[in-house]
Amino acid sequence: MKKLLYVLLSAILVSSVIVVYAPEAAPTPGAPYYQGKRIKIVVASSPGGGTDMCARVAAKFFSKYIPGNPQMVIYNQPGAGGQIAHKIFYNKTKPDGLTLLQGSTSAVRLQMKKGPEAIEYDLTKYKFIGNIVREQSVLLIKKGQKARLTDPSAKPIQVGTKAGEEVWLAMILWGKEFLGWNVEVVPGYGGSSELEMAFRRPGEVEMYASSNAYILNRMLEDGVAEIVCSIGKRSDFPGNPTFEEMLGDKKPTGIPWRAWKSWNGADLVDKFLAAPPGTPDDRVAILREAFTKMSQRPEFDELMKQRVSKSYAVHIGQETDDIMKGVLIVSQAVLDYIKELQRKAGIIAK
Amino acid sequence: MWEASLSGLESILRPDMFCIIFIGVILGTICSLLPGVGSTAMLTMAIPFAVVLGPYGAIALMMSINAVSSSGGTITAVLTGIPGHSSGIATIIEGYPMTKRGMGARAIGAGLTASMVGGLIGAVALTASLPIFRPLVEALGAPEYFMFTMWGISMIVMLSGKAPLKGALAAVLGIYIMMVGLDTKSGAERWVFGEPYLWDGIEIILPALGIFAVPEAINFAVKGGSIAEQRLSYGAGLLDGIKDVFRNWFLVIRASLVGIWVGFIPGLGGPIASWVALGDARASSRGKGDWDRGEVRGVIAPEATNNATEGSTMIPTLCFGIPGSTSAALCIIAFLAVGILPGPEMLRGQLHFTFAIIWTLVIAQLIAGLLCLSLVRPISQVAFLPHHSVVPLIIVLVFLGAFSSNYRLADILLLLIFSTVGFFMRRFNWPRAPLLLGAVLAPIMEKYLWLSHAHYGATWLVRPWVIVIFCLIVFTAGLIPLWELRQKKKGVVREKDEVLKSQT
Repeated sequence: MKKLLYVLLSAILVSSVIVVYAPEAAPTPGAPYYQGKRIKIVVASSPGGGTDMCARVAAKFFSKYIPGNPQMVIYNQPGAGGQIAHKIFYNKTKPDGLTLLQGSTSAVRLQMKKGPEAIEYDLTKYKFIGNIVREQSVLLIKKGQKARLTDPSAKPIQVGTKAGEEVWLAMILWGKEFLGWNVEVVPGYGGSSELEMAFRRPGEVEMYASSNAYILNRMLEDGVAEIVCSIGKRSDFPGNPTFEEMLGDKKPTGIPWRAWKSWNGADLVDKFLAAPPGTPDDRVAILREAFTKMSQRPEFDELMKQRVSKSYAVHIGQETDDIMKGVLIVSQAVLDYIKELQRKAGIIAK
Repeated sequence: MWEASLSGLESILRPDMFCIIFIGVILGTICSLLPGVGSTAMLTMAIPFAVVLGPYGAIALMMSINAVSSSGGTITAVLTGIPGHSSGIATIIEGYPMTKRGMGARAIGAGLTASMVGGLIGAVALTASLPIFRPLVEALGAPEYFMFTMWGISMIVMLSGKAPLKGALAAVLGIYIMMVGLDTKSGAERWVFGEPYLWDGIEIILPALGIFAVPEAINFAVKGGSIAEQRLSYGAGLLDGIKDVFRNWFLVIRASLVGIWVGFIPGLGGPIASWVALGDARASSRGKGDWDRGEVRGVIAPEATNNATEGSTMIPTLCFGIPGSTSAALCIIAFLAVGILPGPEMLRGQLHFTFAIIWTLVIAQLIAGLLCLSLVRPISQVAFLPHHSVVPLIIVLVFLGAFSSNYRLADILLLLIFSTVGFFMRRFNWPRAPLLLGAVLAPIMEKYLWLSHAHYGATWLVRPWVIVIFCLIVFTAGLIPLWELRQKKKGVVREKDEVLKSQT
């Protein structure tokens, strides 16, 4: 009995080793590059979040439109706001088109904040396959408190945030600077759930933003909030101004506006899929074409609306590349200006 | 309300739904048996299946996995001293010493039964209090949350035995350990030494495994023999354990109410509630019992609380549609996909879904409890196996638990560091539980202290609920030394020093 058990265990061990280390079958001459291969999508966050869901929805359909129909494998590599996954992806991944990365805005914000040398990756050198942009953020204020926003003699409106890094916070910083908003930023909340709870309680958060239509509708229906403005136009909340419209003739020009564009641009990147630098152009082209075809399919649209967001936009390859460069390739003066606004709001130490 | 309750029960008791619940319970229990493998991964994998099962199917699958996420952890915590999750750490304090005394089966029997009863009480109380929770949740703010963490931290008095100074220092060390990482409010790096791996801070499972499980395994390997120092027959005491729960019915009700009361606060409930329940059990014992040597009431209280908490963590979800935990967030994703809208509507037009959720919690916890109870006799043999068979198993489970939290090799290195710290703490008789208590509560404590100050300045100190909770802290933490002093005067307290020496 004992011998049988040993034999069985050895067999399992040996077969596992064979399965893991077996060389891939040699490609048939003339066969598509991806035939019989496996594409690994590294997700720079934990399972279950928006980034992970985007990768999983893409993995379900992507392979169908790549000649050779490779297998798709999802690998979650969370940690340090995605930096661990990006660092390994940028520096150590073989650029053979078989490993892709699903990243998010947090990586963009991190590069803006620390610079490519400190974080050891550079998003401007990635080969982008495409990106998915969910709805734009809508700024909410507690019902009946709008008047305090422009009344300097009133108690400042308390704005709740996580670490003062959210894209929507630009509305607060530029609003304080150019519209004279009477606001005080309180960072330290753990996530959107905590923020919403704090918003509903008396005496805590009085202003925060969300892009989630489900949360926004719930808050409005409950009668606890009213809309101030949104970053961009939202078809599901018509009649509400964008922040740019609110600025009117107070809209700044030059460096302050370039800084606004750079900060907000991160929201236009949202969830991106990329190949590592150095990936051959022909393989990138195959992947971009497959991403385009996939994004036009109704079943992809249905699943995206079900799992990720009720409304979203898709950008392909070069478009993503242009958006990313527009956000990240900015002058030092722009970066300094952003830091100055953050300092004024007390988000970073003076 | 009754109609909705019956409608919910009827839908969940259909054979197909019952099968789904059973599958969910099996999957959830397997996750809970393995340290560090939480229900999050299982719930993520279940979403694609849940969305095709319809509303009741989604509720049955997601809620059954969620409901039993701590049930199996009782077995590993009591038998091997390995905590499955942060809420289960309190169970080890009295549960593992019981196993050492050959009463592992009794401890597990008591723990699992208390879990089931706690879960039932939790569900009933949840049903009864649904209308009042919404204003209650809205009434409590950051200052009250901070005071809840202080209530938990006051349990150091109880966990330090006769070495309060060492206990306090250990708690401070625990707090410092959890300061590692990026500061959540400013993004500033704290004790990360330029290493991105440390940006996210340290997973609580690493100190929990390193400080408790590894030193025990080393000691066990050196000492030889079996975990149970007293030889009893396999599974002996299982029925006694079940009876213990009913003998201490008032404690079970109290602990369950603590679970509901503290558990509904998002991200705060479970870990604090189990420590508070343990402290309350000890305070109410008036210094009597085998505390520190393996007291069954010390197992019953945290276990009853743990499962009662499972229900109350759904309160923010049911009342506001706000997920109270990652697991609840995953449940919401699945619910939204099948047309259930978590939020106020759950207490109005969708009340039948709310009751389906509550009934699923009850049924899943009953099935999980009975399933685990049926396994107690064979599993409790572990306590009587020779060290050379058990130590490798414990070590494999510990390392698997550490690695599976994030799949990073650096976690193993940290585990080794914490194991070394734990080994020396045990060697030099430092109480280890306060370190973990400090570590569990530190991030929450820091966050709510900061938010209290940022929003209210010093005025938060005079808020009515803050004063009420402060009185509770003084009452709970002050009573324990007072009772023990009185019992000592009466000559009832036994020589605990030697016992503590061998256990800590």
